[in-house]
Amino acid sequence: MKGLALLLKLAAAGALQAVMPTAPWLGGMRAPLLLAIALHYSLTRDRGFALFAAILAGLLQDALGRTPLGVSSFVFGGAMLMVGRFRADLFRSASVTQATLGALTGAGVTLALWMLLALAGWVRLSAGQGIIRVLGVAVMGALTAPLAIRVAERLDEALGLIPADRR
Amino acid sequence: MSRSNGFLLWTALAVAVLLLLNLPVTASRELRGVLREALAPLYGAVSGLGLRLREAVDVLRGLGGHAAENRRLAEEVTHLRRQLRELSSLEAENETLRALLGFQRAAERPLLAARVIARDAAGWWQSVRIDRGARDGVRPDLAVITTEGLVGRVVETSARTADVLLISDPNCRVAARLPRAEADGVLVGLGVRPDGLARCRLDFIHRHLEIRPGDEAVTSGLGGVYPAGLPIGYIERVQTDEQGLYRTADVLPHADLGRLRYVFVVMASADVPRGKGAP
Repeated sequence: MKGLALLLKLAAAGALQAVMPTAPWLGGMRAPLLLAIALHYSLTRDRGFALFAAILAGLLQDALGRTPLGVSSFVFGGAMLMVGRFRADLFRSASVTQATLGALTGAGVTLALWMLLALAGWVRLSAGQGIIRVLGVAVMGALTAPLAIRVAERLDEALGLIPADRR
Repeated sequence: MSRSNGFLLWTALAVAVLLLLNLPVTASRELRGVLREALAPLYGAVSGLGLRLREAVDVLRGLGGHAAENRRLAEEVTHLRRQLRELSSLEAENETLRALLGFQRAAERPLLAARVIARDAAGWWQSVRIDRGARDGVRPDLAVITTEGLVGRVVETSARTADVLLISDPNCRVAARLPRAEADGVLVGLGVRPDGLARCRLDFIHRHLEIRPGDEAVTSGLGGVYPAGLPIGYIERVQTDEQGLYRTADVLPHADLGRLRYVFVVMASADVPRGKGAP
């Protein structure tokens, strides 16, 4: 059931992420909903399952775009392991925390992906364009992460999948 | 979390990523295709819902904005009438040029109508996904157009979907021609401006040829990917490097690449399966 819920959340987040409109002044990047789902698992599950969720979320993001498979998995996985490392010190259920983590992970992941894709010659962006994209994803991450995490938690509640430490 | 557990997790991540990155090309393509196919119905449903929502918003916006819209349309009619007078004198010249250049209309080739169901999931590329794929005869390197002009080319297909790289993507190159000036060049995408308009640049135009803002750019047919004569856009601005061998020009695409809903794939005749096809 836990795996099915993960697939359901990732499928819905992936579909929404690919069809949601973008703001050109935020660099034309997509709202990081798949990253928000990975963040949700990183805040609520053990690190092993959170890593699995992050790798799957990254894989889906790559498959739904033109990024070579595995690049986003690597970056998502690294980011979520970092979040998992500090999660005991955070007020995980506070919207402010989730918004901050959404912004930080969004910016960090976008920066890392930009570097990797640019180094491999897959994307060509000027420094200005890249910085706008990093900041754009940070803004969208701050706005969407609390909402996406709340919806994911409601789904877990509906399916009876509340983590033991939060009952 | 103990130090050894953390090390194990980082190792697991590295192994997983190495496996994914080193998948054979065919396996990688198949995995990508399976994931896309699995989500295609969900995409269709979500994008259909989004389309209806957008139409509803347009209707609501229209109710409150008729007066402003009327004023804008009146100004536009005046502007267009003036343009029409100017253009009628150029019509004969245009006909001659078309004949001379062997301008071939795209509609002479079979067109396959498709709906745009998604865009690049991350936003790194200027690309869209359409609801027609290999089983409809779509294959990589087919040109994609709208009624306004060139949109891009197919770069990847699965059975029911295809990815189209837009002409505004920096990785997209189009052999282009300016019929009035009889100038050839290479069109390169520059992404999207903050106002949402797609940007392109025409490079390698011979510096001694006279080109000016308003000149129309069409595909030249060189390279074999795009059929000759597909309208691309208008020259917006010309830049000349006094020391350089060539000139460059900013091009504004005819097609509204940021709001694509329906497109047409320009098929080779042999690619169209029976019962599918030209609208």
